[in-house]
Amino acid sequence: MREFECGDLEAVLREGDAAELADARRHARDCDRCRKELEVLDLIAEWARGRRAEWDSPGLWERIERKLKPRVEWRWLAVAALVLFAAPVVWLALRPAGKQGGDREFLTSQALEEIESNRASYAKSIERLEAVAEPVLKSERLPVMASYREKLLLLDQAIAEARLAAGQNGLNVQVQTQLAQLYDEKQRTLREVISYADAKHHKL
Amino acid sequence: MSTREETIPDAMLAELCRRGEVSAYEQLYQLHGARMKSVAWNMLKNREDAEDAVQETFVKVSRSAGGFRGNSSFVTWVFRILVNTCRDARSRAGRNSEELPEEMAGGARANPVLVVALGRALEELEPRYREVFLLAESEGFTHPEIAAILNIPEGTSRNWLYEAKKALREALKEGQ
Repeated sequence: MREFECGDLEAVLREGDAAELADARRHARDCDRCRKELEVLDLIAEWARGRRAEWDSPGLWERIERKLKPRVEWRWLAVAALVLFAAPVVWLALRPAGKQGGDREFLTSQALEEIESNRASYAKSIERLEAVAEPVLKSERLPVMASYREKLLLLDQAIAEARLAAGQNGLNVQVQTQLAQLYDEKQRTLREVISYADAKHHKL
Repeated sequence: MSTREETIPDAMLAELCRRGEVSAYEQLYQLHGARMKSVAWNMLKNREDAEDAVQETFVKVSRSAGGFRGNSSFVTWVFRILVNTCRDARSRAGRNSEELPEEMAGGARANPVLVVALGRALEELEPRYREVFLLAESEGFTHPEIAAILNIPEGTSRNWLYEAKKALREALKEGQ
């Protein structure tokens, strides 16, 4: 290996790695010129580190949060809209069958059986996801889980209403579609929670 | 970017911010707010302006998180927005808006004459050299991180840091 020379110093300072810089420092122990050069640079580095500014900013996060809330809450409105959309569908479905208009689409009994069978297995797979996600959702160390818990509660309420409607008028396509969307949303949310925990390697 | 063990991974933080989770922004603030304030203070030289810049950065991030494509780390992207916000604020306010407070002007071991000489020399540096110097030496960002924040090649970051140090070294020699 070639020995470090004074002429190498500039190149090392410009683009050298840690090992090359260590070589330069070893060389500087016996070289006044290089040692002085490195001392000056060390002094500059120390001065620069001292420019790292730290101070308390009480209220800064609250100010930021106030600015953020109007922007971010619309996303929850999307979930709320899904739930609100379910309400008239549920109402329509719960009306006595004789009063329903003749222009709406209805499923055949055979198709309904298939849907219910598929949904039962889908609901079971969601239950399994729920079991996996539960410890993460309950974790006090993850503030973000409070939002997920709220969202899932909202979805569960909407699913319960839509299932009630489907039980009373399962042949209604809108009710079935609505219920499927709510299940999809719940599954997606649970998957997010689980992938969150996986990504963190969170110790539960 | 160094983060604590209990933190949300970068990609997840990006995703949660994209979804508008306020708690994700809060985590971003808790983890990086102090460093963001320091970067802003070093660019704007005023605590109030620095805090305003950090606040404005969060609002900009919330507006454009949906457009973040993951080409760099999310946190690096946030710092890029911060630096641009500070550049805008600096150009609006004029270059030398305020002197540095004495207690925050530089390292402990340096004598006051050298601190003043270095402070002046830093202000006289080309902005690109100054930004790289502050990000690297004051804030501890690596060259790949600086390259991502300033949108420059890594080699350029190394070169600009060297040029900055060289100019400061000359100023220090003159001041001695």
